[in-house]
Amino acid sequence: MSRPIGNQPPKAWIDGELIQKLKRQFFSAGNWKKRIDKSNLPEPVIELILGVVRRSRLMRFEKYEIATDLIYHFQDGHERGRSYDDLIESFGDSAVASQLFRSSKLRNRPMSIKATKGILGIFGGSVVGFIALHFFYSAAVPTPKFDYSNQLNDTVTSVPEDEKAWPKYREIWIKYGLSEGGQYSDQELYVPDEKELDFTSNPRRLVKPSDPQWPAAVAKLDSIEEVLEMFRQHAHLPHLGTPLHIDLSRYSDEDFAALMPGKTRDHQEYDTPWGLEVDVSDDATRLINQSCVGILLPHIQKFRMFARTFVVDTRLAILQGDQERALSNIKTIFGLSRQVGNNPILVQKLVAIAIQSEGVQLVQSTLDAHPNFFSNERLESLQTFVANTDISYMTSPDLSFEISVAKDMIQRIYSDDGNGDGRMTPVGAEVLIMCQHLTFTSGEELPQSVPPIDRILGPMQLFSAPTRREVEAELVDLATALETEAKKRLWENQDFDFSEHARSKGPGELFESLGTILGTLQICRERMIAQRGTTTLGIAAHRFRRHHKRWPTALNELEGTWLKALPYDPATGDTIKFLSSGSGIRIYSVGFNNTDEGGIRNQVGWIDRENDWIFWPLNEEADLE
Amino acid sequence: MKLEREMMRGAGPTAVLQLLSGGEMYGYQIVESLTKKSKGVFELGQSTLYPMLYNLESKGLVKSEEKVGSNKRKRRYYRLTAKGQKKLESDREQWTAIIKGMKALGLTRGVQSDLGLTGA
Repeated sequence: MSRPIGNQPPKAWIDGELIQKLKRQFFSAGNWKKRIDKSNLPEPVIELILGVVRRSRLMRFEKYEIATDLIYHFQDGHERGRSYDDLIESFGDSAVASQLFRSSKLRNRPMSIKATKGILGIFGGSVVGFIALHFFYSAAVPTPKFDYSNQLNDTVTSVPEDEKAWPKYREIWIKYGLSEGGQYSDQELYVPDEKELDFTSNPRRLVKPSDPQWPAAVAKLDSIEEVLEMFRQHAHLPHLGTPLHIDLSRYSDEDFAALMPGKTRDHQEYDTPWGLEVDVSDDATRLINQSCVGILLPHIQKFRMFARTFVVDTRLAILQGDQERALSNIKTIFGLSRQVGNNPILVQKLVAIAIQSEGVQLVQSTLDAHPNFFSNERLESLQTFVANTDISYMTSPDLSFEISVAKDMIQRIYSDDGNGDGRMTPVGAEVLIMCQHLTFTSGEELPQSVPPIDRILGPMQLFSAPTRREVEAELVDLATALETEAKKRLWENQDFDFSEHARSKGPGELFESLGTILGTLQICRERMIAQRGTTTLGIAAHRFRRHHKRWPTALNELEGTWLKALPYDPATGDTIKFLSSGSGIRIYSVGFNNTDEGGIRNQVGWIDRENDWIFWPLNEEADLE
Repeated sequence: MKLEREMMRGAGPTAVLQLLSGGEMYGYQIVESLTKKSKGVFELGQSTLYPMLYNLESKGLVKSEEKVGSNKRKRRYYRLTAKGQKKLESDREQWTAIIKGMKALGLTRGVQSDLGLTGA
């Protein structure tokens, strides 16, 4: 049974009270003026009624009711014989009348109308509030003030001048067009090979003397002897010292010619940064184009390329019986690795590890294929050199460069209140989209622009998104935690997932990507340190074989006379695994699974978690013929 | 004599209810009748009467209805509801008590009354 509302059943109340009043309010209520105009009352009376009703500031249907009552009143009064002037005079103060009408109507306004008006008021207020919030949100723009690229440049160029290799390389670098975009090509040093994938993801390998392309490779080596000699002479210098600028106008003419061959100074102002498939505003494009993320390293991969060139030249030196050049080439590769890695840029450290890996592979393959090539003295010299290789630049990874890049990005995403804090900005949301594209690691499809719903609801971020100061604090906390973990040995934090940690603790994909790189760096660094030790051990085993005419059967035969210290297993911290047979030796780690599988080669890549890691021989088919 | 505003606020609604107890009336008619029957004591202006009628209607004491009158023109007529009738009965008892009290206090000495009160 329906409960009555007031004295009426609900249906009657809805039809009679609510619907009728709403109809008057929204469909016919504007007629109260027309109602007065058509009353046929004299002008002074109409003016009086209009004034009273207008000043009541009530809802339109209420005005209509008052107007009707007053019209009837004046008509009835006149009909009863009173003059309009008399009626006007007896009406009293019209302002007081308006106020009385208003207060009585307000007091007696139906709950339905009050509720409707309240809802509309709340809705209207919300709309007005949201619009105001939108203006507030839209008014915020990033105003990057700190030049992080300058800070980074100072860091990498402030080393002593006599320790910098770049000034020694620069002239020949320009002459041969060695940077990306230059005319230099080393394709003569490679041959197609379906079994191999080199660092450019092409199925090809370095040319060997037995290949028909060998004469062309030799000719190529001959044509770049000046370049190779330059590296041999200066690879011992500890630093590269190449300047880094986002603003290309800051490069000296020589550095610009060396690093950006064939480019103009305004080259970096792309319409769409780095060819990303994004649809963003010009402001967002400009912001990211001017960020440290855009610092180019057009020379770094060339060092790895030349490390491989030295591998081919060493094959030639062996053919020519040139021990001194072969040894010099190996030392040069290790030197190039240090020059590339000896600065705070994380990605350069990864390249440095790859270069050093080329060096240890060259040592091992030379000894395996030509065990008697080096004299005893040169072999001992090589062992001493490898054992003393400076890898200090690897052992303490710091994220200062990456933190600076991230802070630079933050100042391009958030506004600046002048006190180290700020809020998310609309153009910053677009910059974030581009950051997602730049650091994309997962398989989900990324938006090409800020989604419409995010644009509309953007201002809500003012309540939910962390502020600039909070993001920077999260960044520093995360970087500190990641640095601490990255410095640990593998057996101390095998199960620590850098990517997951960065994803869960860090503010966005930028940091997830950072975690992934740092996790990779830790594993690669530890394996590279182990490689230095196992290569030293392998050379010692070869020297033992020469002396005793047999391979050592156990590590204790090497320790002392042939080897100062035994290398440790990078996965466990225990002594490295060593196997010996009549035909050779095998050096390996039990790997992440802590299970000795007998050094069987099943390893897939450097970050294999299931199998033993084989350090010697690195390649079962090592062949320098 | 006209009543002061506060007095009118207390007595006016009862006067209107009393007037409507005799049958439905329209706005001007109420003003006119009140003035005439109360001998000018309840001389209500439009600015007082209509807000008062709105209050009475919202409380369910009177009911208004727009209809064509004897002059072939539309008017809004007000009539007492059952609830209004009850309220009038209650008001009447209270006013009687007030007048008795005032009489006992000597406030109404010399005032002719048809309420059957004896003098103090």
